[in-house]
Amino acid sequence: MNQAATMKHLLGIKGLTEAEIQSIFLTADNFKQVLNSPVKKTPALRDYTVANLFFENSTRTRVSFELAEKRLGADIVNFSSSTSSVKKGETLIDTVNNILSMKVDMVVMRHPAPGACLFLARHVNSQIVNAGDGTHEHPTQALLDAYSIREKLGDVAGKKVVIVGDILHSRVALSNIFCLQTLGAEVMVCGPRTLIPRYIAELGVKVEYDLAKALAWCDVANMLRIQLERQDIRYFPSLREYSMQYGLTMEILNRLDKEITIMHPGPINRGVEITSEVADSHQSIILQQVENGVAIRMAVIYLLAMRER
Amino acid sequence: MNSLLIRSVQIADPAGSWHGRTADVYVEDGVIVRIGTDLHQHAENIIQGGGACLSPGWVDALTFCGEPGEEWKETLASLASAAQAGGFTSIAAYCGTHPAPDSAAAISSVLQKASGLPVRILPLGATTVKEEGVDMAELYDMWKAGAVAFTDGEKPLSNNGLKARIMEYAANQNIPVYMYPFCRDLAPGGSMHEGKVSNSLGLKGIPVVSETIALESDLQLAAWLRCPLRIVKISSAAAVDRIRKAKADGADIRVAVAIDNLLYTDENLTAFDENHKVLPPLRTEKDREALWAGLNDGTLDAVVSNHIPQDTESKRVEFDYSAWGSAGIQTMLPALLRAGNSPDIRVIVTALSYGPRKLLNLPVQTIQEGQPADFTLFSATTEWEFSGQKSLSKAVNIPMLGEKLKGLVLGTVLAGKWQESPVYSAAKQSQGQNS
Repeated sequence: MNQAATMKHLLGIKGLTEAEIQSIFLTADNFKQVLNSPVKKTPALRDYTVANLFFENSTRTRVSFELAEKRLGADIVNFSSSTSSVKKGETLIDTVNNILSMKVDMVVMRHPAPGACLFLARHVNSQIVNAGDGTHEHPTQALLDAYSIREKLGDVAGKKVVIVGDILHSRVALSNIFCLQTLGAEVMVCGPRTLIPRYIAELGVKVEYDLAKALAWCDVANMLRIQLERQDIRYFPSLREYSMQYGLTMEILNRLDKEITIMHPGPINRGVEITSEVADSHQSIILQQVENGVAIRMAVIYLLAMRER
Repeated sequence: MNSLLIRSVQIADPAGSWHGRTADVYVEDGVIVRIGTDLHQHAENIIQGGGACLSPGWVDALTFCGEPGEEWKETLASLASAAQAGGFTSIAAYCGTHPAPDSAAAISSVLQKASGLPVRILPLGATTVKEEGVDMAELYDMWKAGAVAFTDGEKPLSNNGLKARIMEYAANQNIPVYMYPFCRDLAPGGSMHEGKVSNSLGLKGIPVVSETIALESDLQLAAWLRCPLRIVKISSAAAVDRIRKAKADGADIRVAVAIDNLLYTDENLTAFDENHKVLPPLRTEKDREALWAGLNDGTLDAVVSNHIPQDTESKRVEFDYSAWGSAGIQTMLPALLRAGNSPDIRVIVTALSYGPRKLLNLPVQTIQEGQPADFTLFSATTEWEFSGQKSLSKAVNIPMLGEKLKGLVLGTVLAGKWQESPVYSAAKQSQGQNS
């Protein structure tokens, strides 16, 4: 019996067991083979309908989910709105129930409010996949990140991973911390003090404010995008000054006595958190992350759907 | 002549001479005439106390009402019913933020509507015009009209110069002005206590320092101006320590804590429960324990409901968009009993009767012959289930709704008149049917 088949929703990484994560990875291994075969589709979910509800701008996550659903043979509907449903006068519950009335089986939702997916799961009768809820979690991103580390380095357990950048506004950081820790990796966060949550060390992560020291410590560096759109007040004076301190350049990498793996959840601000040279180097697995994203999302949707059968 | 005989009650009145004894209390025209064992007075109304506790009437020194402006959330009538079932005989109510109660006319209007309600309504006035925190409202005029104390409702005063002027001005007539120590600048976007839990939920935090900095300025201003200080809604261990020190130094301070901060912690928010999105925020277990210790040793004087009624549309939305506040005025007794793990009766009576009266500069009432007959009759051991139909408030944001509770209010005596709690009446009725 597949462990992950016990989950009804994927609301976050917190609460998932290592066995559940590993079974998502094993399922993703199979789907990755499918994706690399001449017929890159399975009809597994041809009787299934998935609604992608994006209440916040997204390109790559939405495309990745859409492709994952299509390659599982599911019917899909897309709903996107850059303003929250509340601001339009309709509640989130009403919006989703309207869509569910049209016989939709699963909802993939991105929303600007932390906890929105958990809220929805409590109030509507559908399976929910969290595609990012505000500054809370982005579980499929964390799964694909850990999966990519496993693919590149053989295993996640025992590896040292530093997450660099705007930890304060990042759902990717939080989900990554939970996921990597569950899989036995050590996690460090690095960035300017104003962008590091003050109690993050209590989650069992190391904190380092010096990029060079952080890189010297790690096996993998996950460079987060500076999320200016989430910063309602200034946490640092300018992008220029940020990249002076936390921008990853070839020069810094060359000073290390080892070769580390470079990741980025995208979209990249080239020249801000990472230079083009680094992003395009052989140490970078940024495009593999994107590729693995489809396989991971296929695995998640498939396993959740199987539970309902 | 109205007469009332309450038989066989345990007197819960630590400041009075009958405390802890079982007695009968005889009341005429709203005044206690006799207290004794086996009284044989003839009375129009005889209540069998059955050994329940009789306390001087409870006062809620800070509660909110939707009327006027948001009557669908709570009317004065629904608030009064819930408060009476919660054991209160008087409530200091801040009535409406749309518009703010910032004029004598607004206060008079509240008092007019309050007549005939099962609790005495003590109106709270706004400290500043439209509670904008800019210009002082007509405090004296409102006080003359019947306002008992002043607050800007859910908003803290942030301008220290304005605070100082208000403290001095109100000190003329010894009018209580509530200071709510909260420096918002230190908590931009914050929706819960800043700590491990907020970090793990991705929610912006409200740090303890946002409370202690404001508290420090309140204490220093009051010391400088030699004005009495009334502090409401503190939430942190650090604030308790600071107040304990100030009281030891002889400062004239009275302090109230909201029930939620005594009962819950930030761990209650791990599933984004909107009912626990409150101000001041629920802090850690260490803070909660310090607040409780402060209540026990007299550092904190009163517990307030900080009852902020909300409707479904305001509360049952995504956590970030959900309105602040919880509405627990009807469950103050069970909440207090749970918070203190069945505390002694002394703490309950002090927190709900003596303390709030001191906060409001009202005379402290005890159960003695010649005193007004203003009582709360309660059982600290009766268990009951708080189902939806027993809730008398219109609010939906009631944390204890649906729970099994210990501690039931049997009724109240206001101006000598017995009013049984509808919840107790229903319980008696169903017991009668079962037996």
